[in-house]
Amino acid sequence: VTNPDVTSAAAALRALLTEDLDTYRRLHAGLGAGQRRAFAVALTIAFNEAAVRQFGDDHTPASIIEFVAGARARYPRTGEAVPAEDAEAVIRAALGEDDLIDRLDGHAYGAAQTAMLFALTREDNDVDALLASAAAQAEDYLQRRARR
Amino acid sequence: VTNGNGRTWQMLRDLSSWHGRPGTSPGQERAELGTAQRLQAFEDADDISDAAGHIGEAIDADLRGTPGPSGHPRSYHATASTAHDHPQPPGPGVSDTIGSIAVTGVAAAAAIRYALSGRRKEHQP
Repeated sequence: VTNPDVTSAAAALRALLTEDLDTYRRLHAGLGAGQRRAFAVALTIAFNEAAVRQFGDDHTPASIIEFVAGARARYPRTGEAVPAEDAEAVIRAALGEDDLIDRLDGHAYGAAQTAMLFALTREDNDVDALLASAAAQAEDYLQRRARR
Repeated sequence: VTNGNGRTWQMLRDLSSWHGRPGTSPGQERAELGTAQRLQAFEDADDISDAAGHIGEAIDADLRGTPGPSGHPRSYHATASTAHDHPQPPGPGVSDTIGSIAVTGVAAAAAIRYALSGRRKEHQP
């Protein structure tokens, strides 16, 4: 069973990650309450998976610093909206340091994840596979939440 | 017991039954285990979604700025001097290092990383 909210959320995320920003703007603006929730969950799952793919089990703080600095330099307008330490915190949280996200409010958390997901997927041509996995996990998570 | 954002650890424990899919690697499993992240996403969905919209606008501005040969924005070295123009609040303890890296580019980042991991050890008695 496909959750239509997740499908809509994944479509918006795909538009962002494929740099179809006009479509992203339109799809994102049209998300309803349930779709926005699905979007946030799918975004988080996709980001976590992309971070693990990028840094794996043998990451170092220096490698994360280098990646964030490079991304912020390459996309300066986006970098202005996302402090470096927020970007590093969400990556490190995805790699296991969950407590680092406690200090971030929802807006900072979402901004950092979105910017870093975009950066993490610039060299990865398999955005569709990433989003398919994220959508499946988001559906599962939301179903389990709904049963609670 | 609650954490800094008022979320209950009990909720975290309730949701900790997620064990990933059979056959996944440790890295994949850890990604799927991101229970705290999923909970934050679920609870702060509106703020996160709003932020994602704002970041989309920033990305759009970057991509429309001065596209490079590959369709991406300006090269790293061309943009490096604009990356850090706001103060860095206390974070995971790397902000000073980041500032230096962003100003001097990828080459400097590699040098700093090398310095952190290697040269300091060499100079220790």
